[in-house]
This record gives sequence, structure tokens and C-alpha cells, in this order.
Amino acid sequence: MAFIELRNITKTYRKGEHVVTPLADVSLEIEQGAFCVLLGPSGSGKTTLMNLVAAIDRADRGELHVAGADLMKMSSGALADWRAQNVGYIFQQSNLVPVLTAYENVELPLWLMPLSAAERHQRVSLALAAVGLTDRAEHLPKQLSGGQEQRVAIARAIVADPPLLVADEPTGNLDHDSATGVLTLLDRLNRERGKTILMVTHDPRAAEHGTRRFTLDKGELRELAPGVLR
Amino acid sequence: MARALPFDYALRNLGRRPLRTLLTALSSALVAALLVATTAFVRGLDTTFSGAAQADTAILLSSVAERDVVRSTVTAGLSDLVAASVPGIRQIGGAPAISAEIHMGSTLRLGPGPERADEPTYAGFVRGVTDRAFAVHDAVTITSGRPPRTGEVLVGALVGKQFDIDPARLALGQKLRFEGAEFTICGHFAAPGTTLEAEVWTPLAELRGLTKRDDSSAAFVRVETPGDFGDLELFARRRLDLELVVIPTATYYRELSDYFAPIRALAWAMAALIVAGALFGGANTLNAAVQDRLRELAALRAVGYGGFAIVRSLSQESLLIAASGGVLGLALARVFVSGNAVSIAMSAFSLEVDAVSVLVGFAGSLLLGILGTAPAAARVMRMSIAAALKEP
Ligand SMILES: Nc1ncnc2c1ncn2[C@@H]1O[C@H](COP(=O)(O)OP(=O)(O)O)[C@@H](O)[C@H]1O
Ligand SMILES: [Mg+2]
Repeated sequence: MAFIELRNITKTYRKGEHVVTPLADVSLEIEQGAFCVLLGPSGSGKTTLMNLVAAIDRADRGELHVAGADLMKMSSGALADWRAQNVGYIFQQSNLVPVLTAYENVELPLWLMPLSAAERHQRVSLALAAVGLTDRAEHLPKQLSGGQEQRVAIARAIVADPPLLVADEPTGNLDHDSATGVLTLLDRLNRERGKTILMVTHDPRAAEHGTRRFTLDKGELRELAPGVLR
Repeated sequence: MARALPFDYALRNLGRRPLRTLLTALSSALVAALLVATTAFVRGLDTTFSGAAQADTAILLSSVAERDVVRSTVTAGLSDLVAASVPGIRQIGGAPAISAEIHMGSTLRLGPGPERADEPTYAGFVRGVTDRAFAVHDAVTITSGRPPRTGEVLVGALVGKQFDIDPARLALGQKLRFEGAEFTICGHFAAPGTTLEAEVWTPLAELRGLTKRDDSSAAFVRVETPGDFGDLELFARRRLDLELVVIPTATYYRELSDYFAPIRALAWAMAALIVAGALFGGANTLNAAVQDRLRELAALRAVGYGGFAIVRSLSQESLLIAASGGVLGLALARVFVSGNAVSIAMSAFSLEVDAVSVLVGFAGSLLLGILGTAPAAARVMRMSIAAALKEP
């Protein structure tokens, strides 16, 4: 079985009388170690798809297996535990906790694991070093630039060493240079650490980083041929 | 495995909306102080009336007085009659422990005469007593001076507080006026936890003369066997001409205390109103905290924290506010409640901030902190992570 496997996944939202179906019978297989880029117009269901794969939302029907777990059959408590071990989520906004320092934000996922204080310290230090922010450990989010915040968020996503990273428009709020820094970082995590990455982006330059590219439009998922954009 | 958010998160969250945190803490302080005051008041009210009860003492009252000592009249010679005809009366200091007394409300004036139209008057409670009273009423201890002789009064420890006057005006040798006569203060007495402390005691014979009475209000009788007033009752039934009823002091003071039940209920109702207001405020604060942080909380859940971990952190936040407010409230109660006297129907009792009232006050504010978390907790448990992540 593939690392990520969706079979006939359908997801609808009800807004009063209105029914939106961002995903209709979507199927997808992704092998471990892939760097997948998901493109598509706004409102096409990209975030919805990411949330299903990251187990923070539930599909209406279909089959969904990620990292060996049958997500459709798990309780919300079991899904929370699964997330803690298997997924690092990077959002468009960094979503750091404003009252915690960079160090403490990165440490957050580790409180969910059976680690000693020394082990936690070592892991946080490594993660901060990986994103090049060792010297910003004691800064609060508001004392960091947007690019630095996003790098702290990446450190938080990788600190528990999950096999899957999910990034929803991670460079959407960043300037050109900061965006480059974040994309380079994701590239390295994919190539050097074998992380499977699922990234939504609007940025054609970012899309070039993908080993596989998909578009989502009107509930339909299509894979683009290598080298072809749009 | 900790599986919980660090305590620091809850602690630092308090500083995110300092004003709101402060106001919530103050309402918690108010609740604690109010609960302490209410508990002290209700307990004071209860013990005041039960404190004077003695298992071996009964009151002989006139049967037409509807159990009201002030309205009761019994014949002046009742003490001797009882002593001569009822067996089992306790002997103290070689004499039967029977105290004939006059109980009356009177208008008191401070200092020596003559009376002036513009001087303040005080509604006080006067008891005419003989030396036997000190053998019968165990709760009473003379703390300074001696029992009153003609033209003298013995003043209870709470009279000054009841009148809200400088205690120096009731010092030894000071004058008091009532019933058209002037009295010198010859001593003070304490009777902790009883209404006796709010009374002024003067010789029975003199009070009879001043009020042109040749009777007493009642006689307090101590028997050998506590609770056994059979012989006294037999006496009352045989001497129908005297029109007497025998009421054990335990019964008498319990009835008196029951009389104040509506006041107790009112006190609790007032406390409940304030508590409800504070509960609403606390719940509102936490709800607002969740609303402010929806996206952040959703991100924490995306990281792998369960709903309970977040609810737990919110309760810590709420309890921190409630506990610090509670401590402040206890301090306020200590300063403003402790030792204050409450005047009630010509009587008074003092408010003591004791272990029970402190416990009620502090536990009350903590409970409020926990209950106030409930609506926010329900919201966190129900929230859709995906939807909350889309919050602006
Ligand atoms: N929680 C929700 N409730 C109702 N409708 C939603 C919700 N989340 C997304 N939608 C709708 O689903 C569609 C897809 O949304 P989304 O996955 O966020 O799109 P994208 O990320 O591609 O911009 C949109 O029409 C959006 O309005
Ligand atoms: Mg989106």
C-alpha cells in the first residue's frame, strides 16, 4: 500500500441550504519520499484535501490510508495521537503561540511524547539549528520577521520527526527572499531526511520544487505531466 | 508522558488581556469576601442564639407571653417558691441556682445627666439581675470590675460595637442613663458567642423600682440532671394560678434562632445573586479567550493536542485567576469583616472570620473558576479544527 492512499474520497460542506462539494470521488496514491505540489484556483478544495490527509478533518466517504493508518476508522482521540507522531503541519500563517518563545513553540509537540527534558532540549536545538534560528530561541513570535516565524513553524513541524509534512501555502505571506529560504528548507528536508511533503502553492516558482504536481479544480484531481505547469 | 500543555502557557495567557484578567480576579475576590461575610454572618447568627443554651437550664415564663421573655411577667416571689417546692434544683455556692430577671428594651443615654434634647440615644437591652444570675448563666464571665450594686451597671462586651461608639465612653466609672436614672459602670462582662454580650445588667430590685413593677420577666432555673425538667413541669402544672410554662433554654434559643431564618435565607440569596453574576463574568472571560485564540487553539490541536489538554489548560487559567482573586478576597474579608459586630433587634453579635468561613469563601471562588470554564470547554470540544484554522 502506498504511503498516502485516497480512494473515492468525497467531502461536502453544508452552508445552510447550500452544499459545496470540494472533493468528489477523488483518488490518489503517493509513495513515501515524494515532494508533491498541489495547485488550483482559490476555493477549489486544496486545503480541504490537505486537512483530510493530515487527519484534522474527516471525509464523508471513501477510503483514506496514510502512513499505514486507516484514518476513516479512527476516533478523534486516536487521530490526535496519530497526528502528533506522523504529521507536521505548516500553515500559511505561522500560527505560533504568541505567549511562548520560539524555543517553547518548537518544544510544543514534544510534550506529547515520552521524552526526558534532556531529550527534548536536544531535539529542539537540532530543529532550531536546521532552520537556522538557534540565535532566536528566546524571541517571542512578535519579535521575529515573517520569514523567521515561518521557519520556527517548520522547526515545530519537524521536531517530532514525523514522516509526513503538510504545507498549506507556506510562502503565501512571505517576501521573495524569505520564500526562497522556506522552499530551500523544504527541499532539503525532502532530499536529506526523506520527508514526504504535500504542499499547496499558488507560486509557479514554488511549484517547480515538486517531484509530482497535481491540480484540483471543480472537485477533480489531475496529475500534471513532469515539467508541465498549468 | 505529559500529554498536557505546559503550565507556563496558562500562566502567560493571563497577561494577554490584563484588564479582563484583573476584572475577573476582582469579581472572584468579591465572591470570596462575600461568601466569607455571609458564612460568618449566618454562623454568628446561629451560634449567638445557641451559645447561651444550657442543657441543665430552663426558663419559667408566663404562659400568656407567647414565649417572649420581654412580654412575660412572673410573680416576684417565684424563686423562693420554686426553691421550696421543686426537688432537684442545683445548689451553687450554698444557694439554689435560680435567677429571677427582668428583660427589657430601653432607651440609653451616655454620660452624666441632666438629659438634653439633642443628645443621641441608643436602643439597648437591659437585664435586671441578682447575684444568682452569675451562678446560672455559665457563659458569662466578669472581665473587669464586679457585679452591679444599686446605681451601677455591668456592661456586655459588644454594647460599644452595637452602639457604634468609642469604647472609652463605656469604661469603668463612666455614666449611663436609662429609665430616668443615672448609673455608674462598675464592670464589664464577656459571654462569647451569645447575645448576652450586647446587654446592660443592673440590680433587679432597682430596675423594679424604676419601672414601677413588682414582678420579674422570668426565672432561669438550673437542675441537677441536665435535660430533666420533669419536676419543674409538675410544679407549673400544679400551680395553675401562677400561669407558668417551662421552656428548656435549648428550645428557647433554637426558636429564637428560627425566628431569624428569613434573614439567613435573604443573606444566602444575596450571596447567590453576586455569585451568579461573577459566574457569568468568569464564563464570559474564558469564552472570549477561546474566541480570541480560535486559530491558535486549532493549530495546537493540529499539532496533536486533544480537546481535553486544551480544556485543562483553560481551567488552569481560570483557576489561577479565581485563586488569586480568592486570596485577595480573603484578605479583604480579614480586614473588613473580622471583628465587626452586627446589630440585630436590640442585640448584637460579632463576625469571626474562622476556618469554616475561609474555606467556604475560597472553595466558592475556586468552584466558580471551574464552573466558569464549562461553556468555553464545551466550545473547544465541539470546535472544528479545519474551520477554526480559517479564522482571520
Ligand atoms: N469549514 C467549512 N465550512 C463550509 N465550507 C467550507 C469549509 N471549509 C471550506 N469550505 C468550502 O469548501 C470549498 C473549498 O475550500 P478550501 O479547501 O479551503 O479551498 P482552497 O484551499 O483550495 O482555497 C470552498 O468553497 C469553501 O468555501
Ligand atoms: Mg486553502
